[in-house]
Amino acid sequence: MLKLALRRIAGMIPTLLVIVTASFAIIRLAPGGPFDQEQMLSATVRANLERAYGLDQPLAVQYGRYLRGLLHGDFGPSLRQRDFTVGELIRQGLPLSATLGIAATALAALLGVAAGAAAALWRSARTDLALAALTALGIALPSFVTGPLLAWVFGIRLHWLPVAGFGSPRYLVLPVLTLALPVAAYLARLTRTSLLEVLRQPFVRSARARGLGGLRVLWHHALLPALLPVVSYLGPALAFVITGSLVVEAVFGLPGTGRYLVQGAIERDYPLVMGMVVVYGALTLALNFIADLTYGWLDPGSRHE
Amino acid sequence: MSDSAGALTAGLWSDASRRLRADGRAATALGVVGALALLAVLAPWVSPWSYDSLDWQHLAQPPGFARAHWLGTDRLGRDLLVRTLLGLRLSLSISVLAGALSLTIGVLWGAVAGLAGGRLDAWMMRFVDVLYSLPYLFVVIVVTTLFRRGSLAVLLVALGAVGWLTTARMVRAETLALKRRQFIEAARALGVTPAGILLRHVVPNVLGQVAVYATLIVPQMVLFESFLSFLGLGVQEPRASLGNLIYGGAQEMESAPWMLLVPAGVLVVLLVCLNVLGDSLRDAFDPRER
Repeated sequence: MLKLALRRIAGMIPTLLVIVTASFAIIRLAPGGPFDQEQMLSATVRANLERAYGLDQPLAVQYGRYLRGLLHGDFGPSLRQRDFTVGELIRQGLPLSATLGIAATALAALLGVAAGAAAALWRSARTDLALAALTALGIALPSFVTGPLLAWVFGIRLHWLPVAGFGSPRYLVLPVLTLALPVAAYLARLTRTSLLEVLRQPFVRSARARGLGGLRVLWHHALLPALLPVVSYLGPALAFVITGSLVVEAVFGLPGTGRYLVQGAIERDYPLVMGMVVVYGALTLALNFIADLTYGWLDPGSRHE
Repeated sequence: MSDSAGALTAGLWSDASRRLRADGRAATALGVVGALALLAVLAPWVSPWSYDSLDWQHLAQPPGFARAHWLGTDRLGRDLLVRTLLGLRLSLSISVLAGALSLTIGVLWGAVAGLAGGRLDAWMMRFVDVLYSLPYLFVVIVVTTLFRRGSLAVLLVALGAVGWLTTARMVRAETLALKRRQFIEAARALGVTPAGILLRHVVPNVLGQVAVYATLIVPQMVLFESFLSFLGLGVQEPRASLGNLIYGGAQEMESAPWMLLVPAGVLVVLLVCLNVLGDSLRDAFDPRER
C-alpha cells in the first residue's frame, strides 16, 4: 500500500511539471498582452510596465523565474488586479470554493447512494422507470441550465432562498444543490446497478435465508461491496465538481476562485491564469490520488496492478 | 461482417438497424432532433426578423401566439424565436464540426500510435494521459487564450482539442489488435507503405466503432460550446448561441423569465434526445443482450 502511494506520488511530479510547462508555453505564445486594453499607455510607460513585471526578459528566463517562485509558493503578482499577488487572490477565494466542492460531493454521495439503493431494494417496473428518467435528466442537464432554473424557481418565484452573492450559509444551498445533482444522478445509477449485482450473490441469499430483513442485509452485507464501482467513480466525480464549480460560482455570483480562471484568460493576466492552472491541476491530481488510495484500501486485489 | 452466415446472423449493420427500428425511444428522439435541426436550418425563413434586428415597438415582450413575436423579445427588442433558432443552428454546426475534427485527430493519433508501437507509442499515449488527467476546461481555456476572443476558430480548436482523447485511446487499442491480423501482415509483405496500411487497412476497420462514438461526442460538444459561450469565452454578442442566450436570460430572469426558459428548454430537449439516441445506438451495436 505504501509502495503504491509512493509510486503514485512520484508519478504526479512530472505530470505537474508538464502541465506548468505546457500552459506557460501556450499562454505566452498567444498574441495579445495584459496591457493591450489600456490604450492611453505611451510606449515608454508600457515598456516600463513590462520591465517591472519582467515581461521584457527572454521567455526562458521568465520560465526559470516562474518555476523558482513556484517552489517557494510564490505565484507572482496579478497583472490586472493591482496590489494583489496571485497567491493572495487564490487564498481569499479558496475556502469558499472548497466548502462548495466538499458540500456538493457529500450531498451527491448521500443522495445518489440512497436513491440508487432504494431503487435496487424495492425494485419494480415503476421505480426503474422513474429512476432512469430522473437520472437521464440529471446527467443531461448542464449546471448552467439547472443553476438559473433553480434560482428562478426557489429564489424569484418562491422567495425561499437568496439567488446571488454570499453572506450566510443560506447562500450556499442552491449552488451546492446545482453542483451535486448531476453527480448524484450518476452515482444513483452506479449504485443501483452494482447493488442489484451484489444482491444476486450467494452470500446475500444465505443472509436472507438466515432470516435477516432487507435493510439489515443491505447495511451489514451488501452495501460495502456494492460501493466499489461508486468509489472508483469518485476521481472523475471530483474533477467534475471542480470544473462545475467554475460555472456555479459564475451563476450565483459567489466570490470563490472559479471566476479568476475565466477572467484571467479574458484579460491576459498571465500569472493569474497560470496560478489557477497550477492550483487546480495539483488539486485534481491530489484528489485522484486520494480516490485511488481509497479504492486500494477497499479492494485489496487492485493494489498489485 | 460476413454475409455468408445466412439468415440467423445478418451482419453487424443490419442487426443494428433492426434493433434500432424496434426501439421506440430512439425513433422519437431522432424525430425531435431532426425537427429541431430542420427548424434551425430554416430559421431565416421562419420569421421576418433577423437575429440582430431591433423592434423598438416591442421591447421585452412576453411570449404569446397572438403577438408579433411568438416567443417574445429581449430588452433590445430582438425576436427570441429567431435568436434561439439561429443560436441552435450555430451550436449544432459548431458541435458537428468540432466533433468531426476531434474524431479525425483521435483516429489518426490512435492509429499512428498503435501502428508505430515502441517509444513513439509510449510518448503519444503519455501525452493523452496527461491531458486526460486535467479537467477539460483548463485545456479549453488555455487554448482560447491563443486566439482573439469571439472568433469561431477558437471554439473549433478548443472543442476539438478536448474531444479527441477518448477516440485516440479507443482507436489505439483497436489498432493493436488489428496489427497482428494476417491481412495487415500480407499488406506489409506486399510492400505497402506504413501510410498506406494506416489509411487503407487500419482506418476503415475502426470506423464502425468510431461511428457509434460520434453520436456520443456531438451532445458533449453541444454542451461544451454552450458552456464556453455561457462563460463569455465562446460565441459573442450580437451573435446568438444557446449558451450566451441562456447567460443573457439568467441576467434578466427576474423581469423576463421567458428569456431564460426558451433557450434553456431548447437545449434541454436537444441534449436529452441526443443522449437517448446515443444510448440506443450503443445498445443496437452491442451484440450482448441487455
